[in-house]
Amino acid sequence: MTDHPWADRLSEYLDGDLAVDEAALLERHLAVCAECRRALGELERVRDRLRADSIVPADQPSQAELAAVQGRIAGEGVPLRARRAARGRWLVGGVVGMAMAAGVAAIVLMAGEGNRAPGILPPVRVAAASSPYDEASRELEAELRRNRAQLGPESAEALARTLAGIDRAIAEAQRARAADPGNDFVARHLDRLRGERISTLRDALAAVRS
Amino acid sequence: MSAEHDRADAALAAAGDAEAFGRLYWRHAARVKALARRLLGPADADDGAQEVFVRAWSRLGQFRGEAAFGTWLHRLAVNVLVRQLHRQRRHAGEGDQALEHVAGPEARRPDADLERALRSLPEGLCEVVVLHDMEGYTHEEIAELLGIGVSASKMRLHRGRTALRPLVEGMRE
Repeated sequence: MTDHPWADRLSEYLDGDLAVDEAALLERHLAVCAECRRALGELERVRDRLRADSIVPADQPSQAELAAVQGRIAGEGVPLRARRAARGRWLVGGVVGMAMAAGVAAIVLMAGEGNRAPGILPPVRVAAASSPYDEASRELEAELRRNRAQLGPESAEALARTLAGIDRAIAEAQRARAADPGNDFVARHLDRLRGERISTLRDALAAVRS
Repeated sequence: MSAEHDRADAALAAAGDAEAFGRLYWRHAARVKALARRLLGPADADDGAQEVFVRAWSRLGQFRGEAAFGTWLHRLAVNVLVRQLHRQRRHAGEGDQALEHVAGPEARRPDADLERALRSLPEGLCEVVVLHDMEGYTHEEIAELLGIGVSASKMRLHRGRTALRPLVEGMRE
């Protein structure tokens, strides 16, 4: 290694972590050492590959995985007190929930019916926004709108049908919840449906980006 | 926006609100799963991510809101997953044995070669490479998270990248 005194510092140089005088010395060596130049190039490509992979969309979480986490929490004796705490949620979370609910009674994927063009995503209405789930849904829909050119007409229609089905189920669950606010099953069912809606949108977004 | 939702939900979840915890899960699980996959590989990633959220639940009371919830959770995830990585290494030995039983669609993922190469790195290098080059941590942060020196972090990163050079061999400059 005596022929390549800077070999162990190439990554620091690559990342701009070397002092100016050290970098100057290393550059002087690089000017006369093809082996170190090649090594530096490969290290840069390794770093680029790692960085590129870091932005690959991650596997989306699933309801089953959340259920597994909750199952373990329950199994290990950490209490889950969904309902009593949930009442507090509407007080503490009210700032968030009400802000989102304002003016967001119906969200459509297109800006308006009159703007619809053939082959792009038809409007999909969702239930009144009242939770961070709806915020997440709205952000995903906005992103999907920006990428809608990549979504073919058949896919758009299938997506719209799927979302409409989920929205109907959400609306029913919301009615059931309003009728029986203390029912844990209905609350969990509503969460599952909202999660399903988000997963569907994320899958569609991943598909149009790929 | 999202940070406010996180803070509100974390407070509720710390008080036992499972719904709020579920919302935190939906917002952050993808990033935790990605980290778990990079550190532990596809076979153990789901278990690793699950462990992170179980720990998060029990420690929510420690979240004071000084940092963003996502930052707090990610640091917790690093701690949990790196410990799990070390256990995995002890049980499986070094090398890519951990991936040997992974086949089918997992092995054909476009990034499967990178995942395999990361886990074939000698002990102590994988986490530094992942945290620095994929998760964007600085050497100072890595040193604190892993309990090592800044110089050691830089050295491990360099050794890790060097060991990964076969991945890019043949690629044009």
